[in-house]
Amino acid sequence: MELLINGQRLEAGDLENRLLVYVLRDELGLTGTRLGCGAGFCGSCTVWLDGVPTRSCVTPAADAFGKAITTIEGLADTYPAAGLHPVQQAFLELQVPQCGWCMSGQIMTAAAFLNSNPAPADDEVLTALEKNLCRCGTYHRLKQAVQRAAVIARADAAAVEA
Amino acid sequence: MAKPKPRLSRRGFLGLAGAGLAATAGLYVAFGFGRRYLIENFDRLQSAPDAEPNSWLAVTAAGTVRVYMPKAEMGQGVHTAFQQIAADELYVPLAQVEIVLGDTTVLPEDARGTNGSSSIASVYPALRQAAAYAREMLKAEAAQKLGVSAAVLTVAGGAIVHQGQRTALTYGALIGERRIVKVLGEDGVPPLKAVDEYEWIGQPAPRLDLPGKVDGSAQYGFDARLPGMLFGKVLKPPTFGATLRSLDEAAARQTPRVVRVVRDGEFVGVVAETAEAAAVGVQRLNAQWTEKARLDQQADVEAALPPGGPGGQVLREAGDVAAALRQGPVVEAEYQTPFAAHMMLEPPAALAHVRQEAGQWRADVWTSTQGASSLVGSVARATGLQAEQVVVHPLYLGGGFGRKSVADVALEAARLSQAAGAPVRVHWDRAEELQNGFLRPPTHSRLRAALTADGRIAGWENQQASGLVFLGILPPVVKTVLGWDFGATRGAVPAHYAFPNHRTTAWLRDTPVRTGFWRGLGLLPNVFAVESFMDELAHAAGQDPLRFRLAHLASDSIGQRMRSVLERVAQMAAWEQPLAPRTDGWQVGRGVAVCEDVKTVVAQVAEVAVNPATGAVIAERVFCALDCGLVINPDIVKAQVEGNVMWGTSSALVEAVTIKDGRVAATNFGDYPILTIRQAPLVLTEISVNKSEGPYGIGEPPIGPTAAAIANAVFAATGVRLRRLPLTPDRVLEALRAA
Ligand code: FES
Ligand code: FES
Repeated sequence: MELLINGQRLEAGDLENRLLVYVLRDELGLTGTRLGCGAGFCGSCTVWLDGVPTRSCVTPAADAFGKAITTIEGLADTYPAAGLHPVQQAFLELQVPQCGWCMSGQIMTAAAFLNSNPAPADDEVLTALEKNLCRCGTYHRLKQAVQRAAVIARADAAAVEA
Repeated sequence: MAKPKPRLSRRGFLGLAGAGLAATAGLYVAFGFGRRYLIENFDRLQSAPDAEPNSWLAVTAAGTVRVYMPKAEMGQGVHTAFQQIAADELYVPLAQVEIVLGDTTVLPEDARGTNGSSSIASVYPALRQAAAYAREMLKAEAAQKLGVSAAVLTVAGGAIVHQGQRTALTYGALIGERRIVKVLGEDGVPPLKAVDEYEWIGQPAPRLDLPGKVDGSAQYGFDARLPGMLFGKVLKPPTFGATLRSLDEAAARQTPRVVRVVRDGEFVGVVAETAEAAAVGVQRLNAQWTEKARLDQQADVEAALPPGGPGGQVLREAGDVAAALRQGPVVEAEYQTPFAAHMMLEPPAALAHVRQEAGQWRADVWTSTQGASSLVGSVARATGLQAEQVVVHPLYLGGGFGRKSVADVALEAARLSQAAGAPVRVHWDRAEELQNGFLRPPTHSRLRAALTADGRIAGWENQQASGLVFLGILPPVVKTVLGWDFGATRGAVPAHYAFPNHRTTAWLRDTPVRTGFWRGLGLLPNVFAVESFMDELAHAAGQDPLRFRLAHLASDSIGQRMRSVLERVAQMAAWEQPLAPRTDGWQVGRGVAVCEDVKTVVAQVAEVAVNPATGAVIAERVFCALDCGLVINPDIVKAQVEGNVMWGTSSALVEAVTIKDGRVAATNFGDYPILTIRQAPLVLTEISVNKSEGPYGIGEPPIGPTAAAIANAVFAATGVRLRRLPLTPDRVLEALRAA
């Protein structure tokens, strides 16, 4: 069966009894989507299905059929300006990741959140990210980086309008 | 309009390395056998006397500096620090230094592994000398070429410069197509760059590993793939000590996509075409077990834990504690910490390919490990191969924290691959990891002290008991060699305080679940006990807890460095100004705690808010002042402080493993919560400038004080003392009601 991933149709094999996370990682080599808890608790495996952040470790692969799947590898392409997505830029600027295993999930969650809320209050950032765990404890920088990403994205949007 | 984007492709399969160093031109600096004076601190890094030189550093014909360092990158930024050290000593831009992510045929052997906050402290002197040695050799070459004395030459921008002749010979040009192998020290000891002249060391250089961690391309052990790879899962007993009675191999074999069932005594594994099918296959084995007649319970662990009885080891004895305690008045308290899990987000995972090629066995293992070198021998033993036939490919770690010093999952993958005749990947799910990995052991400390009339500590006694740390993992001979399981007692003897009479005694307890290394080992539990007790003594003496600590500091260098970070953190937190009370009913308070570990001194002040109606505790801010000697990269040090404070807060407030009916009660993050972003304190860090010593470790020391600082702050806020971690709302409420 073919899945639509990052704008490309990819042959993903037989999807019966398969979880999206393993199809992405093991079949298709899209290992940027990480697997942390396998049960929906940590958020490491977050991808977008039609733009909605979704935990791929508890998503049957067949459910993603016919939907547009976006993974960390395709995130930058969803953003109109050149280069990395503002969330990725901000995470580099503030040197957020430690081990980095949670980061694809943090970034996919934060990017979807900023799409729906371009100027969030600090408390809204916490609500958006409180189900994405980071064992290394990057939370201190994570909070600041999401706000920094919002600033970058707003500046890009203003530049387009000008 | 088309726009340039970094093109990220799907990951291809792995290629086998193996070109080795041998054929390539360049200048290689190796450590020869017997040059121990150069590896003073790098004590356990061994180089083979007559094999291929164990290069630590190479300057290529293109002038690139390559560093071969067998230390795992697990988010602590160690590779970036190596880049800075090499760039400084060789006078090249950072970008000219490459950290080789090689396998065990390319990297020098490192029996110690990546642990104990030791990497920078041990590598700095060695790498610096290797780099300086290469530089001096290049200088000598240039002097010969130019027909001048080396003394008139300077080094800049990756070239040897002669000001008078206005010439600059790049490293690449000097090396040309030759392959030069030098053993460090064979031409004498090179002069080192003065610490004050460092250009890169001390700068917040951006982390080398982060671009791949934000775009998804970074490769971890769990990400390794090979064509035709299969997926394995090994059957595990449901409870501690259960033995296998029967199973249904045929049912498992008939599971769709299952390729085979591997059985070798109690080792039973299922190999399948997908990870999902391997897990289903193990369930279909329908294994029946004989369990222990009496299943282990948490209450048994706690009943056996308290200190006392035979087997105690005196760790510190000074003066006459018994006499001091007889003088009174005596303050006494007991503190307990629970089992805790690592819960690194990347679970244990490994890909192994064990096969015969042209009649020769060979095993390759890709994994996230803190000890690639020692894993070679373990894989060899598990497969019956020779160590020379095993290659370990260490990849990035999605968190290690001590857990990935033990690579049991890699051995499972190797055995299954050998049996299946194909590459096999194994990963542990969370329940499997919690039950079959290992934990931080529980501790129970009993402290007693006598105070003088003017409020000074006259006698200090700490009786500490803990589950095993080193001995839970390493062979029993370790106790003979080291004399004690010092992992369990790390932090139990506060070297920065001077007590006239002092005795610390420790006991070790077996627990039904395996225990071992966890970030900082015993540091957090022991500092929780020691620094909570210091707080209790300060209050008993009617003194300010911060000034009480200052009054008890030793006069040696550790004590002096501690004084300066304590005074610093007091300023940062505006300790002398009371916190503004809240109007919403929450009670606020501030607590201080300190520790010394691997010569790094740390002082922290925590500010907490407690809800007296619910018992909820929030750590609002944690201030941290520390002195870790020479700082290679201040931003990485800060990140490590932030991470450690989150760990300390998490342990203080939410983390505990309990044993129930022969099992670890928790199975995943749902029942073993860790700190979330909403619960995370703001962390404010200041690093002392101290270039005269170090660098000292930073990966663990700041975890020490956090839990104690928080518990002390809860006391300041509410007047109730909590002596048992974690400080859950139930326990806080109970203590408030009892008060
Ligand atoms: S791996 Fe999917 S939520 Fe944790
Ligand atoms: S950076 Fe390691 S888990 Fe978040």
